[in-house]
Amino acid sequence: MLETTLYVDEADRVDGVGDLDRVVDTGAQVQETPEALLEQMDESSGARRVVSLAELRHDMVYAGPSSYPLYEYKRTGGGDEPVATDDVTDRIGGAELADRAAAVGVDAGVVNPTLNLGLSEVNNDRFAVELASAYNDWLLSELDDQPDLAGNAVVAPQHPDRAAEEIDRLADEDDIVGVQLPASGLLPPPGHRQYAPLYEAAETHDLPVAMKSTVGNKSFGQQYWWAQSFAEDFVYQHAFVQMRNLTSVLFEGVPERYDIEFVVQGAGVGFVPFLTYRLDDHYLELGYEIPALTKLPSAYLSESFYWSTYPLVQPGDETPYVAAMVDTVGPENVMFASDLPHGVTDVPETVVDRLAPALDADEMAAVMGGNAERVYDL
Amino acid sequence: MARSVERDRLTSLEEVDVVVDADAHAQASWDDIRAHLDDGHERFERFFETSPAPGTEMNLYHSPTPTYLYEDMQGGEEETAGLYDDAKLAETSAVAERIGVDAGVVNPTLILNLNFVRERDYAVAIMQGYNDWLVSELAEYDNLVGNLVVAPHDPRRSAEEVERLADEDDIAGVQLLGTALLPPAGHTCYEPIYEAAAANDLPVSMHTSGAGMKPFPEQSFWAETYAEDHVTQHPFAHMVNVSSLLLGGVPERFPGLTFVFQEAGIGYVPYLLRRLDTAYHELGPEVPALPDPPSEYVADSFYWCTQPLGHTAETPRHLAWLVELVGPGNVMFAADAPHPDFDTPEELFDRVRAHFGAEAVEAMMGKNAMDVYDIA
Amino acid sequence: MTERYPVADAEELSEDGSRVIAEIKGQEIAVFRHRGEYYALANYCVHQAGPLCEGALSGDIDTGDDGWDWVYDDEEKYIVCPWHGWMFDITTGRSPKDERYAVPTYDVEVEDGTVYAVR
Repeated sequence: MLETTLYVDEADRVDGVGDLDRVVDTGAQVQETPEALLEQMDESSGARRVVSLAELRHDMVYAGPSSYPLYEYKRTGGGDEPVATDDVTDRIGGAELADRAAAVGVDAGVVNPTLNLGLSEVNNDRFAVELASAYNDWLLSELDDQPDLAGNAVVAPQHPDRAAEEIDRLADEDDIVGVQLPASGLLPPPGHRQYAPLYEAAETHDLPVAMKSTVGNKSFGQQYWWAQSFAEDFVYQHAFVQMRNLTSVLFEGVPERYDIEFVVQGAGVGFVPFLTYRLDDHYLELGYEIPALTKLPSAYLSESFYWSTYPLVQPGDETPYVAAMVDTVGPENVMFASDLPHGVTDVPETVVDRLAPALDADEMAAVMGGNAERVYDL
Repeated sequence: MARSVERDRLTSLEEVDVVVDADAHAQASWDDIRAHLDDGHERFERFFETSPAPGTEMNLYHSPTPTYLYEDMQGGEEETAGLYDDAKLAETSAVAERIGVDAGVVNPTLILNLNFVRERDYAVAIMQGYNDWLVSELAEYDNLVGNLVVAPHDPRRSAEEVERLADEDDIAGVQLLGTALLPPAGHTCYEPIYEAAAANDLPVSMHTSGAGMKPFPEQSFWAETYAEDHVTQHPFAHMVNVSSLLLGGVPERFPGLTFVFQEAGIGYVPYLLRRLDTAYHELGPEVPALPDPPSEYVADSFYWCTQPLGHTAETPRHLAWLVELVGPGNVMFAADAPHPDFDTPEELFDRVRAHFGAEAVEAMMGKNAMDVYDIA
Repeated sequence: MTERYPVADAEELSEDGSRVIAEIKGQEIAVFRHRGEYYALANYCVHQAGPLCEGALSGDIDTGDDGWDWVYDDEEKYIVCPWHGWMFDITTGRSPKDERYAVPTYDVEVEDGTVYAVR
């Protein structure tokens, strides 16, 4: 049944990734090291003094032990065959990332941080603000010689006024094409009024806001407790963060008040139809407590929200699940993302192969690059 | 591509043999429950009589804003009973008949928050009082059966409760409430419950609660409205419990045991199952309890209730795809009668009838539930 | 070809907020009085076919000028379906939550103390 109603005529499909003019990756990541960040901080900064003494340790600067070493350990040391060759603490700058992207057939990319995806979990607001600026300065220096890479400037949600100033400071840089509001650990959730300055600045400078999730969050959601294994946490953490954040963003009226495009990263696409129906149903049944919206949540989602393909599911799924979800969400709202350089990566070829039967050539071009070029104004 | 038109497509709900609401609800009041208490629960009785607000003092439930205000909007000439009112099963039965449901599997309403009760003995008292009330009520309705409720606070006495009532004709399963279940459902502490259910050939249903889940997983804080809370609470609880059950190996240890997940719809299921399989393949050494991928156990013994299905899908096809990806053999229609976000049978039937054969549609609308709950 | 059908004596609808529900050729139509005017719509919710017009009349909560405060507009022109709480403006038939959702409306005429629905 799925095949007959989902698939397009073979004549309309692309044969493979070779048919595409340009592949844009919206989810590659550089890896900034603590040393690189500290170098960017002003010697006279008190925050730098404390953070440097703590060597940016997760248990001292962030809300608690990082999930990253755990994550990489599990992927490299847990099984017989290592699936990642890098340590998450290795420095991967612009040149290295550009090489790896080119090697898998990516023509251009919008990069995100690695360490600073945990920025929302930094306990001390001063540290968070300084870490964001330090990362952004490091990023700019890394992107200088990379014509095919641009980046999202990361902002510290702990201090929305300073986040807005950071956006003002960087918006005119050619290599800054968006804002990264790290999705995991956001407290309060991103629909809260305290984030108004941040959204106003993004709107003023016409920059999309990307929100990428990670695992092992302690300060928000709390699901981390009682997960008996990393595997358990990994299954639901990303979707929880995104669903919780997006419900807040929608029901508190952010897309009604601001003309901003959002890029949602880290949880894939499969949860989106479900969330969309749930948001709509609640709006129609409990609309009296959602006065900030003037139309269905699904209408805002299709107008200004974009969903990263990463992660697809592992090989072995014999159903056209990914294609069905992308088709349901709408190819015009989906963006290819690789998660390079991390262990399990969705390379363009894999994504194209999965989606090819269900998308016509125009839709495929949009997913693999066109949408990102438009939203990020590349 | 044109859809192939097959001869065995149903066109009208009237052609469906039996429509079963796999998640109907009983409206027991506190007075109903206390009236059925056995001896030995005097302390609970005393608490109830002396506390100024026993229901709220006893449990941790809290909603950011009031729940479903319109449900109390009794306009026109009809006086409808609200949630928690003393309507017993009469309202459930009346709503079922009105919307075209032939039979129902009854779950609680007030007691959906049993896991929020802090004190173990109170939870046990409520379990016993509710279950005896339920058995007495069900005797009056030929087309309703029910799930007995267990108190996860005390798995041993819960197992005894299963043994005590398993032979009642109208008891069709065990309700292990999913929200605020701490630790999550895969923990070894629940084995007495699973053993008792398996020994008595009763499926375990897990129903979630809509808001205010402070004990677990805590998203309740910072939700500014009931709506905001309710969107995520139901699927989150199921996703945690299903992950815990599967990665913890429960279906491997209890191969004959069936699980039914209620009140969060089915849209999250394809996503969850594929993430579980991904975790299984990528992180296998952490999941030694399972010799096979999670999806295989799910196909054998997990069932998913459709309500709320999702009304605003761009085309019915999108919902049919979700059904296909979950597996029509594992889908059960649920109305949620008489709760204020109920689905009529048409909500599901109209979306699937053109895409599935008659047998598959009959299964979803009622036959799967009849098999699992052994409804004659 | 439209026809008009008597649904009530005007006296039955003498106060704002009053209503009658009449059956016209197998279809239930409600007539409401609101601010001295009459409005007719189908007693049928487009969501799940609930008896829309048996619900309560209500105002609606909106946001204030800052887009954040909640403001209650107490003009009770919204009929709230008793089944799932979907709201419709009785003067237009449209959902204030999303205008794409609407229930059928009918013209109302009053003559010699009788209220007629036109369909």
